[in-house]
Amino acid sequence: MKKIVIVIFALVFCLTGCGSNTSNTSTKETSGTQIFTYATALSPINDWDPAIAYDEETKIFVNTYESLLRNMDDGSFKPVLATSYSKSKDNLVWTFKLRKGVKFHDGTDCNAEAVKFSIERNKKCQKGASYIWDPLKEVKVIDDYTVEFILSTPAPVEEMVSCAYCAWIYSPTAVGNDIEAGTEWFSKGNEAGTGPYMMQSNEGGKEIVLTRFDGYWGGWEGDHMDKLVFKQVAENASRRQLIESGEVDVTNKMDTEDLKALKKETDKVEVRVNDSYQNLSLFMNTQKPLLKNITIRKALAYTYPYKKLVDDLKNGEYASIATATIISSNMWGASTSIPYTYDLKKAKELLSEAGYPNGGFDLTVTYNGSYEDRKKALELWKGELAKVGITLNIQALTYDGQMGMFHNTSVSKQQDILCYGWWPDLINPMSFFGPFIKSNGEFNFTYYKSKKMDAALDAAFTMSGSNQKKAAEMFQAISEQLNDECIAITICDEKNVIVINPKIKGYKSNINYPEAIFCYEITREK
Amino acid sequence: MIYWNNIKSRVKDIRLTVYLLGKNPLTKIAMLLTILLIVIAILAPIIAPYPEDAVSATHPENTLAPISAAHWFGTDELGRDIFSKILFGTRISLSTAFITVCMAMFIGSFLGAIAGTFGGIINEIIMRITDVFLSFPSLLLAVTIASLLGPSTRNAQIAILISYWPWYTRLMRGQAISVREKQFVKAAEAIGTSRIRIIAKHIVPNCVAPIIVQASMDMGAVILTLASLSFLGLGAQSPTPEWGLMVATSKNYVLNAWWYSVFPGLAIFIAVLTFNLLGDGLREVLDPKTRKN
Amino acid sequence: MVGYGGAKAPPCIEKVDKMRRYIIKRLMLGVVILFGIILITFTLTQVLPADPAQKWVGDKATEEQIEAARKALGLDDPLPKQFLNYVIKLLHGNLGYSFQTHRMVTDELKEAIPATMELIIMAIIVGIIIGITFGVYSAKYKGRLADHIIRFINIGGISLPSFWTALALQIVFYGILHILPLGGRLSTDITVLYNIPHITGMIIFDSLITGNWIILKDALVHIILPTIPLCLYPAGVVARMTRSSLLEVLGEDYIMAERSYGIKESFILWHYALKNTMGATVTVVALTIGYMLTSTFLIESIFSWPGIGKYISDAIMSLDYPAIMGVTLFSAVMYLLLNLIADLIIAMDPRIRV
Repeated sequence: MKKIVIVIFALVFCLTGCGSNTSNTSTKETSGTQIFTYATALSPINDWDPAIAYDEETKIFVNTYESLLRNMDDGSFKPVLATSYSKSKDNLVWTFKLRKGVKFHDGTDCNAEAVKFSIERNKKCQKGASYIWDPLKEVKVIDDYTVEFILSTPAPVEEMVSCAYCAWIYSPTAVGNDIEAGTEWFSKGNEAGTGPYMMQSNEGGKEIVLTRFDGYWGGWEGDHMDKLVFKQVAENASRRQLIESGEVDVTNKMDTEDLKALKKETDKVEVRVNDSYQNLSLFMNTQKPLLKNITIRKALAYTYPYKKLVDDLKNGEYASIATATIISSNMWGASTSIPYTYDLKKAKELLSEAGYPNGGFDLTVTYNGSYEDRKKALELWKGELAKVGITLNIQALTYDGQMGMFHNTSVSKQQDILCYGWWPDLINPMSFFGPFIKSNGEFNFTYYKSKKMDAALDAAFTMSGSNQKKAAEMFQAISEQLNDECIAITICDEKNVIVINPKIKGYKSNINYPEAIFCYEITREK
Repeated sequence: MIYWNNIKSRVKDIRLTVYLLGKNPLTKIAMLLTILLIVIAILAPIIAPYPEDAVSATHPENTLAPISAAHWFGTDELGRDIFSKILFGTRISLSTAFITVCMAMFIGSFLGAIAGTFGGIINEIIMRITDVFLSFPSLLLAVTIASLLGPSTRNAQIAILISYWPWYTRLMRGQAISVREKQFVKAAEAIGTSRIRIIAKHIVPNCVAPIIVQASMDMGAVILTLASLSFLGLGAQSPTPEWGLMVATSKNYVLNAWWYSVFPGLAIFIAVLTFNLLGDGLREVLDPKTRKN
Repeated sequence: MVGYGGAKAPPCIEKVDKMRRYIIKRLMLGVVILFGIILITFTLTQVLPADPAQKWVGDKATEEQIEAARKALGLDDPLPKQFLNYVIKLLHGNLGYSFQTHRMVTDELKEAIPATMELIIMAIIVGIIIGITFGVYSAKYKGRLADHIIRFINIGGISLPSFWTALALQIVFYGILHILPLGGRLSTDITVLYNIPHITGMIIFDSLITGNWIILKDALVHIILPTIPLCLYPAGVVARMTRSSLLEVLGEDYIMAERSYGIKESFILWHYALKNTMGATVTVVALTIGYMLTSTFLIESIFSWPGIGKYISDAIMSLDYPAIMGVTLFSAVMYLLLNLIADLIIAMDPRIRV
């Protein structure tokens, strides 16, 4: 009997596999190591390749990578890897002088060749935010520390080189010439940047530890964090516990209910409500028989309880009512007012006009199931639509599920309405209108196609490369036209809310790198 | 004449069963609770104080309100009355349990009876297929199938059905085989009664008892499985007032609204407990070995 | 092989023969079922709603790229050939690539399995202790109030939704009382500051044999809460088993004999409880592991326990089919093996009755 028991337990142990015998009781660090922990709601890294990354990676990448310029919160541009720049009279050639003495984490020099390599690879990748480099013809190396960006049409190069996506500079030696192989190398958890922090360890992409890069060009004088830990803690309640107890230093995407409570705990946490370019919209499928009708679309726009969403679900402060459709109201070039308010009477009138005085039809809306607040926004709408006789079916899908449905070639299999949140990659109205409105836009969820609109958008974008004021007027006209066409309902402009340990000093939010913290600049109060 | 005697003895049997069931206090409680649950499920729209909350209505100004006279179990993240939602949830859980178990019972027993009666290669094929399905731990197969079909209550029911039918096949087959050996069946076979008639008239009636026991215990298990699937995100979708889904959603608000997690979970517990006690009591009474006591 | 009460030679050998035939038959059945499992999982991968070729090349791919990927992945081959490829891949331990993280599912499983094993072993140990204790007292006070209470707790225990229990425990012991940690296997400080020994992947065992007391203590504290909802089921099963087999044993003559010799009642109870039920308990527990494994799907994510359960519940959220199928296959095979072992043990020692 005993023998059998031993056999079973031995079998079970064997099943867990044996690794190499590493017996050490040593500690990794001396006490006194300054560790900064960021608990994220979503996975901190979806794509390790900085040319492809298009999501939450910014938080980590602003610390491991650098770009030529940094776009500051007030709209100015701070020199980082570039020390100065100028542009030609015809706006087609931009010359950047690079900083000397900058090394990549693998020890190689960051010079003009590296910049040329990175930018051209970013453009060739054709994934993520690659499209921002479309106006770029080539990057020319003038000398070791001078590069020229040669454009085919004028473009907002400052925004391009400081973009939170697809503008990071990385080591050609580490990444190699083959794009696929490079992505493969990155996906093993590698990075090859010049930033103040480098990769120490990575646990399945969910817990990432960065450590000081001793060779950082900025030097380590003064007080700085030694280690940065980024880990995903999906559960709201868990994140709240961790930030309240001080076990983590900062967290994001807290629910309104938790924020209401956290606001009061000023000794434990600091709630920072930051402006953002983020908004939430409902894109209506203009190919569907009912939604083809602009009157019905407008009726729907009058059914959404905008104020209830902001006041009740966002505590009046974590979001605001949008003044423009599709584009964030904070972005230059956005319209400053839209006619659609919460007015069920008007909605019913419009529905009658369209031939549906008592509603009587169904609509399906899809959203990304990871976002609890979007679910609430949609359930809120469901209740209102029921009042005008429309039944809303809310479908929670994965991101891939949503995209799959959107790409379905048969109109009847597509969704009626797609709920999507967006923040810009390039800080330019094109970053909103391009993906959503252009005929070949990657996220053209309304299936809107207008050659005239495409031309107008291209013209406005090209203008933003030389005269931003004029470009703003052009974009604003487009924005107002889109409001009239009512192909999407923007239900709110969201704020980025960061909950941070009050002992952390030096954090300044930057609207261009949402929810990211430049950890080189922060210190912990003793 | 023979049939009348048959029915009389069956009624006597049933009366004895009911009497014996009542002797165990736990079983009595279980029976009462079962009736209560069924009543709630049927009368939910009438009993619930805020029936519209269970369908689409929202009250965002009153989110996560604590227990009060107006809301006995508090409100959820959109101000909906949790008590009303739980009452409506009874409908979903009970109807799923009932439909799924009945279908599993019929399909499984049918296959099992055939396997047991016909024997030979039919038996081998059916039993091997059954064994393969039984080789998956119960929740696992349901999870896999539900994730492939896509999250929805309907698909969860299908997934659960696929996980549960094998048990009835095995049970029925065992019963079929033992009953087949009995004298009266051999006699019927000898005089040339068709197999189907034998199954219908002799085998099935004699196997009813263990199947009923299994079915009543499975009701509880199915409710738990549906709740678990919804908890994982594979069953009912928001805003359906399904208990497991409510517990899953409550995770986000567990520090602000303990009532949101406690009451739906309590509902699951009571429902499952009821059917487990019922099944346990039925087994004590219907199992010929323990019945004699 | 033990004979039975002074049997003569021929029946003994007959029994051995019978047993050998049974073992072979059982092993063959195991192989057939294994084949069936693989066939089912293969069929399921064929009905995946997602297109693996599309996934492989990404969102912006052209039609030609998708077609090329389809050929490269062998998706155009006839079904039998695809099945053969599938089986060959399995034999090489290739379960595909996760849609979400693009890593090999096998690698991710290898990381996750030790965590779940540790939890299950702990739950079994605690379950056995609790179960035997309850079983003994239940048998001792048979028919009286204590017995009924214990039996009620038993049924109550298996009626409790495990995820609810887990949440409630978390609320009470972390949220309100602040005496146990929220989740995870170790505190953040410990993982960043110390080198965690990695021999089997089970932190408690590893730190025990390397003498790392700080890590051991931290790991033990973290495993308490997840263990509780998990151990309820085996505890219930073991309690019931202990009770029924004890009741049978207690009626035997030799017990009366022992009593008349003056041996204390409680000693008799515990001695026979442990001796005769150990074997049966081990078998039963081997069978409840299947249930416990699926329970971890519900419990692990609540405690952020990085095992298979959390892996599959995360995979479900993003409908990462290769990961889901990987866990399904692994769990089914594990369950099959354990059932096989249990059946063989019962065959070898019929004194064990389930």
